[in-house]
Amino acid sequence: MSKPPILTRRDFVRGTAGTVLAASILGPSRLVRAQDDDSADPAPTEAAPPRSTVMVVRDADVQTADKVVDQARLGEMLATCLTGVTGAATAAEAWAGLFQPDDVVGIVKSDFMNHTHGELLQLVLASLQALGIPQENILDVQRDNAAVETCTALICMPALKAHWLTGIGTVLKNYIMFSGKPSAYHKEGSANLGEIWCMDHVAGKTRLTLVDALRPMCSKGPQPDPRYRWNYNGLLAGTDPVAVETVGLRIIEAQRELKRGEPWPVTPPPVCIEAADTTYALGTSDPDRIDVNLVGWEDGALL
Amino acid sequence: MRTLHTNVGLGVATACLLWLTPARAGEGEETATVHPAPPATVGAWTRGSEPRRVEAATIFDYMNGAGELYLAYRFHHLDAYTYRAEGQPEILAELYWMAGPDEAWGLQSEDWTGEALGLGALPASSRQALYGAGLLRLACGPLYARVMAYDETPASRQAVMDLGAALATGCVEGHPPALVRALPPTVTGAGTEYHLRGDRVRFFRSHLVLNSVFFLASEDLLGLDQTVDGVIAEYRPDGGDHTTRLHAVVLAYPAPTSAVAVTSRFRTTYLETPEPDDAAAGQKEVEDGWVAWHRDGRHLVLIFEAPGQGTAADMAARLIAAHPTEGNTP
Repeated sequence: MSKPPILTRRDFVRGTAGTVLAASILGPSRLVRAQDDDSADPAPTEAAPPRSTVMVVRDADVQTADKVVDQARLGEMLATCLTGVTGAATAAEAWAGLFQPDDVVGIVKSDFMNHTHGELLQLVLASLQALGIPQENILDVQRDNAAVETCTALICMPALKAHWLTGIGTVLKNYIMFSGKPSAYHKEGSANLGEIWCMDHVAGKTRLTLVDALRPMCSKGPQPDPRYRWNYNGLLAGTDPVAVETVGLRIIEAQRELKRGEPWPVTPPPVCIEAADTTYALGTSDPDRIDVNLVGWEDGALL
Repeated sequence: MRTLHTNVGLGVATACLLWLTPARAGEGEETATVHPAPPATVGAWTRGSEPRRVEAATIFDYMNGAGELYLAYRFHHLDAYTYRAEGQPEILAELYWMAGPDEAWGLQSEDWTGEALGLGALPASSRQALYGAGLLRLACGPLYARVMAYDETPASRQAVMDLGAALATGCVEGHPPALVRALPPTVTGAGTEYHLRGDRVRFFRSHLVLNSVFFLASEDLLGLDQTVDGVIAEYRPDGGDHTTRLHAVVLAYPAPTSAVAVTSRFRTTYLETPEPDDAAAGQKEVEDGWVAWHRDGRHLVLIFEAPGQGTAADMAARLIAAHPTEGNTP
């Protein structure tokens, strides 16, 4: 069996990164098999590929310059996200459309570099309780594989940030501890982050991706540098985690360009996003198939 | 199993070349000999009596994947001190003890931006102490320190500055790694002068660090490890911008045989030359410009994104000539 190909800078310039990526993740023999399967399909469907919607909700006054969060305004932003994502008339109906009172809901927040705001967590907690889910069935499952096993639903709630090993460290990387071997998903393995979302104890449970973009981090770290945080004052939400990640990356890279005064793309390239789409079928990374619905403050939206 | 609790009340938890000038201290000399423990109190802040000690085996417990950065250099241990004051943000002082000054310089080279501070005997022009928005970074001999206030207030800024000054006690202006010092400030390629961007120079020993500046490949094509010194630098022509820059990578291996093997692998894998000869220098046009390689003894120079073959060849030749082949112990 030949060795998987190495992804190089040249692959990105000439547009072959996706092919090399797929081969390096799947392995050459499995890739050939997949291609054979495709070619054997006598009647490929011509249905239009599905589209994904990402809500970007912003409020210039949701926090002060001193970073004091206005809980009421944040609550309104959250409600707008939920109704936008689900199409429901009210936030309560939206929550009820996503979760049931007998669900055990795991909240997966960021706890490193920049944390998911406690104010946002509190609002989500209250919303789930208002739906009839008892507090003991609303779990903080970050770093707790045993707890994830018991969950019937997950909410992915990272804060928006770049990452020095994976390019972006927001949505897909938020589940890295569920792998039980996080170091295997650093370095060359970071393209495989989508694999974790397909593990038995995780797959299919994520009903909402809600990104805290109140104060993102556009540098890659690896440790926090407050010079690269700014008050974006936003929330990103959707049911397609890959689409939400794609929009988050767009915001991060736009802010980096503003900081440096010239294009400053994240590096290494966040190949985990395309792989999550094309290899793991977790959602879409194609900007042409993502509808971004910006509500609220438009200045500095970076979209 | 943890139910979700929220902690709302806690807020957020947890083209100057001056600093590339030659050494003030002697070659290979430890530039800092005095490193007192950080003060027990600074302003209204007081720390616990003992630091949290983090070693290589436990660094991922402390900082997740960020630990890879420190392990990519010659890391010895970390002492972390937390300072607290009533009604004020916490201040975290992290003291990374590295195997030598090159390692601390390499960590500092991650980002040369920020307010340059003169602390004690350290002149601001050394950029060994940089501050911004509550975070002070200091490279002092084998010590790399990060002192960060979780929120910048006038008082926390002053406390961070005072802590930095205390940590810098005994520091003298050091010098960049030998590989960096040898970088010519100006190189002529095909008749055009290219100037070194001092704020875009990074010293590294790992492909993870290289890729975080300039993505080359998903695997380590260059045989990097803690025995190898590497620097990546950006050069631009007068009035140039990101579209006219080029990147130079200079590597020093422990032995010439390593440089030969890496050159061959680079040409096979990156330049896609099926059966490379043993030429010490050459150029090839790829998708984003011309690439040159030039090898001499244990040194290897790579040029990326050059606008023409002549520029690539000239740049590589000039840079390799700047690094004496033998007897140069970085």
